[in-house]
Amino acid sequence: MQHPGSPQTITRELDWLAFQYLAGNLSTEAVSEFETRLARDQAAREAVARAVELTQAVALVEAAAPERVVPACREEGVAVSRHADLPVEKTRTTHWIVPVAWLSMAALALVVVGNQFARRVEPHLTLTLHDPPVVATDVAAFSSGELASAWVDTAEFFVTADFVEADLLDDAMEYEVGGDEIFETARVTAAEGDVERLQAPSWMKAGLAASLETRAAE
Amino acid sequence: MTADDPSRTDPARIDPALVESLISRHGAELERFLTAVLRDPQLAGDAMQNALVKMVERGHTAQEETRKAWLFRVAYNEALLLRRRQATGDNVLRRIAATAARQAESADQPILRTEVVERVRQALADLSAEQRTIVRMRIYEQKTFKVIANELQIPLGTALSRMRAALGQLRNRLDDPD
Repeated sequence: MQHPGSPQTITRELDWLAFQYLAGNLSTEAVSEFETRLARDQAAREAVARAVELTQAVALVEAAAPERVVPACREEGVAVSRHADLPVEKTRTTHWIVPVAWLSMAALALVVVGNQFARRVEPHLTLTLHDPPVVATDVAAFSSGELASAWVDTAEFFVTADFVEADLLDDAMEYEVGGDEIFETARVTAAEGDVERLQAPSWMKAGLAASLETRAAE
Repeated sequence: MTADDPSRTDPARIDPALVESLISRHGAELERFLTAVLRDPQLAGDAMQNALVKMVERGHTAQEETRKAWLFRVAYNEALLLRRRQATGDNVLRRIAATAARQAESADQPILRTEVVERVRQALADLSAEQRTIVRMRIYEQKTFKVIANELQIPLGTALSRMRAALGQLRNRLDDPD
């Protein structure tokens, strides 16, 4: 418990006055009075310096917190804090959860995609390209390496190709292969006719990239 | 020894090594003080430079034990001179926070020692949720106490007293980390 007249209490009073001065919360008269005091009182000057230090430190801490959005000190306008009522400790512990969650989701998606792909190609899947080179393959019978090789061999057609099963043209579905410019989009039709957005497996992209490099070298 | 000999000590001037020592010990604090008075970090730099020139020229007249106060007073006078020449806005809190945020991103010239920031981080975590919300809204989100009071649906006096208590706790933590 601090006593009203103790040095620490006086310092805290001064700190509060300095913060209000800094924050522009003092009236014109109070500002004038405080600035007169600043001319002669080193303790007041140091209090102002402390207020700035604290403000900077709080701004740095808040700026480093990824949960914060559109801070007013960076952008004009009203800022919104998504976790305004959460304790700082709690928000800090969530930092590692986001990447782990994304990794888990990516792994799960790969498993699902793998299963779906295997299931879809169970009957004989016919790949029909635009200007028909027609490539008929029993994909399920291929190993990953073979499939990669097949992908590489036909990849140059994929940019403009429809990737359809012969009997279900009307049920063609969108198939986005991710951010790779080479692949853009291709369409694929599966026996079930449901629509999903799938990612090309990374090993397939790697295979294609390696092949294109080899071809370019040749 | 010629008049241009740099090793020559002018008795009418303060020892440059002493000025250097003063800057190294109090420069950052002085700069913060001037930033608050001038509400502009660049002007604060100008005032500081002018003060150091005065220090070199006339610092020998100050008593050794009061040199820091002397430097601050001279710097303050320089700041007032500069302020009379410049129209400066009142939103100093925003400018200071914005400067801190920019420097946090560029990280090439730290404005505060890492341990100070770390202590404040810990001290913020130790505040009550209500206090922390007020500190964030006032300093980081730049809301006035009136707006804060409205948004939180508390009396203005409560908002002020929470801020005051929070600042006291943060300050205690900075002054005495244990």
